[in-house]
Amino acid sequence: MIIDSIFVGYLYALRYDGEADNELDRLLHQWNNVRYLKLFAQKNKIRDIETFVKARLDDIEDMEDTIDEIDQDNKNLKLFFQPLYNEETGLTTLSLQKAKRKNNKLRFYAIRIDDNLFLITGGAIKMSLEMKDHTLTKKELSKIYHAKAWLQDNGIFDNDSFFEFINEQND
Amino acid sequence: MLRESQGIALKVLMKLNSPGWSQRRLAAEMGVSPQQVTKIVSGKENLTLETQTRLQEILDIPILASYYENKAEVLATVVGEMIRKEFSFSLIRPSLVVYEMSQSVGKVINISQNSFTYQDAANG
Repeated sequence: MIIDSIFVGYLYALRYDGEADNELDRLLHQWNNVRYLKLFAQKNKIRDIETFVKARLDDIEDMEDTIDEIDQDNKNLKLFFQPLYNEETGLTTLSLQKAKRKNNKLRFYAIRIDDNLFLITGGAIKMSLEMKDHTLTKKELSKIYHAKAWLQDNGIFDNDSFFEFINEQND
Repeated sequence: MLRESQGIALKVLMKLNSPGWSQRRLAAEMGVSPQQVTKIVSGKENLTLETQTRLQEILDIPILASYYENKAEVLATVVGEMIRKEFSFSLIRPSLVVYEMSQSVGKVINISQNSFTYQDAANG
């Protein structure tokens, strides 16, 4: 597992073993693929496939615009991410987070390393209310917990420990 | 550009859902590899005008403005022919077309790309 930088200093993404892309690039690539979206709709027994695909293409455009705005404007990722579990309050070490937009079914999942430092662990098209109720989001739940354990195993819990690890990784 | 390619890809994919169509058949009719068709329907290819025209013609789906222009041309011919047959007018003026069409309410017109038929709705 490798950590790729997206926006140096504040946004990073995991690149899993055997994957050519980190999770952000992989998902953006996947969600922009019309054939993938159509097959996804069929597999999930969506009645109006055309409307579903068009809506997801709007969703990905919205997500990409938001990511660009974050990079160009305030770089405040806290406006993009929120706790995965609504009941979480205050600062939690290696907090599990999700990025969601209003009326948008796409989700990025991430771990907050420090105040404005996030590591994307994956993402999915949300098809069920609870993550555990759909194969894809269930898998993402497993990935984010696995990533958290991996960070802990590598002694990463804040800004300093994260960048120390990044420097060692890049040496 | 990406959204345009994605829009075309979706139109192609929805057409390929029709009975008898498949990516393999489309590839054969276009004279390209199935892998090339997979690229087209992923919506990430910068499609040439030639490719767009071929997709439009082979699949009979609207991609370029020429699709509607061609259909409009066929429709104009159909309407002209219909009025000539119905009312024995040798010269059709645009102002007359509107009037004559209003007189033909109740006719059902079936138009395909190269031909047309019409009949009384009551008998249809």
